[in-house]
Amino acid sequence: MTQSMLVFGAGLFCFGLLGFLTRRNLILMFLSLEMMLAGVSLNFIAFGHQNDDMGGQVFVILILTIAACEAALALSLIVALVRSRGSLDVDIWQSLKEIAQPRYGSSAEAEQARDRQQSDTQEEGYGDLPKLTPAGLDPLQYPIEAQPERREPISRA
Amino acid sequence: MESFLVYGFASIALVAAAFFVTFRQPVHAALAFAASVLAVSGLYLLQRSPFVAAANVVIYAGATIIIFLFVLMFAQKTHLQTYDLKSSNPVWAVLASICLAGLLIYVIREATPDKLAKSNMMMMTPMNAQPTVLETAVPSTTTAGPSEPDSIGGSFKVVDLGREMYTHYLWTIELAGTVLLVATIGAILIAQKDADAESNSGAVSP
Repeated sequence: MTQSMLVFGAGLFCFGLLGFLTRRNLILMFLSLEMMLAGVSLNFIAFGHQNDDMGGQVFVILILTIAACEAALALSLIVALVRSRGSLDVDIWQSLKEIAQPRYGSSAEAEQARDRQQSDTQEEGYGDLPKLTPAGLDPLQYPIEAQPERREPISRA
Repeated sequence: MESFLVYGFASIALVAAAFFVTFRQPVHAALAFAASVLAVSGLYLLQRSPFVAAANVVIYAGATIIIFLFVLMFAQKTHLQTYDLKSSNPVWAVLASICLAGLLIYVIREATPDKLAKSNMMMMTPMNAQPTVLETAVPSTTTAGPSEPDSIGGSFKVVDLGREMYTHYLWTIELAGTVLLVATIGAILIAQKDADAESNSGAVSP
């Protein structure tokens, strides 16, 4: 029975891979990643069942925890991306590729991305991509003063 | 009876996965994914893991997919967009997935216990014919290990799982709790609007 379980896990993993490579909707791409995790969890449970070891179940609980955290963070990132450009398409973010990489796709969003490719190489900064606040203070405006000299500690007798 | 249950749950899971990949409406695809996760929970139950099956239903199908549905209904437009109707490179994706599936299934079929035992015997030279301390301490599953149990019940209780989690895997559980805390803080910070971030940051003047 373990072999059957491993084959079903492999099948779920390959369906998840197919969904990830095929979909263009950001949220459904991420849901395909979750399906890959489900396939791997089935593998863990199958091996734990075969070898009378609880480690498989413990690791699947860990996978559930990490998948939940990952879903929360990824969905908040997706919400930020949608607020920025207004669409769930992954093709509109092709300006994040390297400059020499060709842009693909035949839809209107892809052509928009291709037009943006021309302007990305010329414009300064990052366009409408989020700007991170630099860590720390600008040393030109907040110069660091020299530290006062240290005195020797008074030794108590 | 048991093999009927195994193949029943597995076929539901794989058919639901196929529906998830092919449905055009995103909400329909998410619901098909939920059905697949529920069938996989049934498979966990058949593998003597009742706690993980219940946790899967409650956490994965009950919370994670609901989060996905919320964000999907929030971010999605009314009508189907082009990114839902047309997929990117479907032919290459299907070929790659079929190649990977074929490779994995071939490897899984090849690794039967008798072939593993043969490779173990081939690796042992005549000098190492005596069982070492390690081999006597950890029983190998290929030669004299426990055979696969027939009953669904078995001796796996939730008590045993809890004892194992909090004695042998304590670091793992504590780290998982820490990751949850960090992820909560991170998700709250990321989801704030940019206007708040710009008004709060006064460290560097533009």
